[in-house]
Amino acid sequence: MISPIALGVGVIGLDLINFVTPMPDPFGDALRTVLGDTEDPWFDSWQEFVWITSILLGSGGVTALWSWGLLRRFLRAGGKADAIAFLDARPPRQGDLVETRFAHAVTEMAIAAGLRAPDVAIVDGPMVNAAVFGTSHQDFAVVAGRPMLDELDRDQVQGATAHLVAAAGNGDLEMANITTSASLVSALVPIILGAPFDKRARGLLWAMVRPSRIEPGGVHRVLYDLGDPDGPATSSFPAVMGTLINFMSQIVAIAVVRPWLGAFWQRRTALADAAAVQLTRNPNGLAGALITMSGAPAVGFASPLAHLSAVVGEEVGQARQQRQIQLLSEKADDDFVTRARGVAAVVSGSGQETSSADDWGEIAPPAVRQTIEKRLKLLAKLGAALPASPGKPTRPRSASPLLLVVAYPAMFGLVALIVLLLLGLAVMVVGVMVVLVEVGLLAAVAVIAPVHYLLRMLSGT
Amino acid sequence: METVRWIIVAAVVVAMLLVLLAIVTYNRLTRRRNEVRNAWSQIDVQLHRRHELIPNLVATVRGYAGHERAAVAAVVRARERALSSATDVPSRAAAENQLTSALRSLFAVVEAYPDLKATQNFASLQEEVASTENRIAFARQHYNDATMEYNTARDSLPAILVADALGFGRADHLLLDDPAAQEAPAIDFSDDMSRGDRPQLP
Repeated sequence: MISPIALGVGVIGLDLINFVTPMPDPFGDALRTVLGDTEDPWFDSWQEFVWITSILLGSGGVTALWSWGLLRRFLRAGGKADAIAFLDARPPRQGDLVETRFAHAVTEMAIAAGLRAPDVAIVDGPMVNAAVFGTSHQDFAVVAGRPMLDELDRDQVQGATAHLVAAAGNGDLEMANITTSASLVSALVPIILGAPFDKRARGLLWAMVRPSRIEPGGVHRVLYDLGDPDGPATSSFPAVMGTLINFMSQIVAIAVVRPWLGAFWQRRTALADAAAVQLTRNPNGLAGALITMSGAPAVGFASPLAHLSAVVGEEVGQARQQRQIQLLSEKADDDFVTRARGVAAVVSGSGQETSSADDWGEIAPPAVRQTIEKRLKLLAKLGAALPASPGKPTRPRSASPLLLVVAYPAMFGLVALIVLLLLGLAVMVVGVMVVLVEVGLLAAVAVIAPVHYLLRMLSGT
Repeated sequence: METVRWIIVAAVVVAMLLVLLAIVTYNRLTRRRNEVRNAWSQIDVQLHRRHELIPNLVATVRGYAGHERAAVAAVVRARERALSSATDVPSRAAAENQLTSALRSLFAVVEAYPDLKATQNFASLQEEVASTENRIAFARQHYNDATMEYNTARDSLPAILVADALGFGRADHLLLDDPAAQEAPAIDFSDDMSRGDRPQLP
């Protein structure tokens, strides 16, 4: 995607330098070959081919790395203050026992973990949940939904807080910065391509280049815009290209990024759970908190895993969810659900398991409940006393010879089929990518050629 | 000649590696020791916080339960002793423990005064004191964790070879000095844990 842009920039750059000092003209050489000038072959030698190809690919790679760095810097600017402004969170009220208790729990856990005391903030929304926001383990804030504080007892608040502080202490915020910015690089491409056509896209880019000038809460707003299907990321863009790019990034997200990052964050969550038990020496608090949270309706709007593992991508989701809940309670309009899907896209791009917009309103969708059950199992191993759940009755197993003869080969065949399908999908993805790069290159050539010849003519070479 | 030169080069390389290793070890141990010291000072900070809380608490309790003079006076006396105690660890620990038990008996006495318990001021004071007790406990826990990490790092190879020469002594754990808490917790090693089943509620 980025290669054509890099090509354009490179060629025009060479042309501009050409004014001052003569530069080679690989673009002109290439174009002449395409136009049938056999006197001057496309590539004089294989060395030149390798050279030009690596410049093309390398410049694409460098641009991708550069935008990654840009996004990382941008996310670092979106620290705790930005999140608090975006969430419209407030400091705990003086004299409010429940909120003071929460602030105390946070301070206590920070002492136990040997961290600097983090900021504490409360969101007045329907969220029975909490999250950490920030850029590093030395600079973060713990934010809780007021209903969570009302529903949990002191031990449970302590357990939930311990999980968050432990996650921050384990460096999850730094990790989140890396993974989220990496997965946002692909979202940046349509913005860059759309910048000439759309004012909002230009504004987004401008904000990203100069994060220090952005207003409080702006970083999170930009992050939301990146995932908004009606936002500048796609709306301004020629429809076919936009759809193609969306399709591509969806395939990459579903097939590659999401499973891998999902597994990664699951491990980090388990680590934070274990660390929380080590800090509080009390597995029952966190287990009780998880049980209460999974039974609360508001959790259905995003997985508690996402909230508790404290990732920038999910912060966006959470902020939106909160507003969405408010809005949904007033009026549920279609436009709103579409916007919500955009949030789900950003969040899933960062590898977090979230309920899709369709799951809304359900009490703890199945995926969420599974994750929670897994976490509770770990906590039980660490000594939590869980109430005996009714559970599923285990079916008696009968190993019939028929099973061995029919079922296993059938299963094997099915697995083989799936593998083949995946391989086919991969080939298709590569094919589509090649086509896209070609299309992009052709478009670039069409745009660049006139400028190129004008500049060369002006410089008289 | 050639061999001698190679031997000299090898010796220099090995010496440089050793020096590098010593530097890395020194830095690692220093970092851990500083963490231990920081954890120690954190305990001090929390103890100080508790001393600051007590006058407020005493005033509130006096207002409602004026004739519980003994319990209140015990707290006041224990605080004064803790403030004026010597700076060495054992005598300070003794004074602070006395304060802890005095506070506990004060809160036990207050149970008999529903009016007092119902006031907002007292409830928040109680939360403050409870949180401070927690903080002291967690600060000690962190101190012990940091001490364990430091001692493990110090006693592991290769650090143990140079630790004494570089002046890294062992750090001491803070032991429990509350007899009630010293009772060993009952741990059930029956096999339902190892089977991965859910442990039963006690």
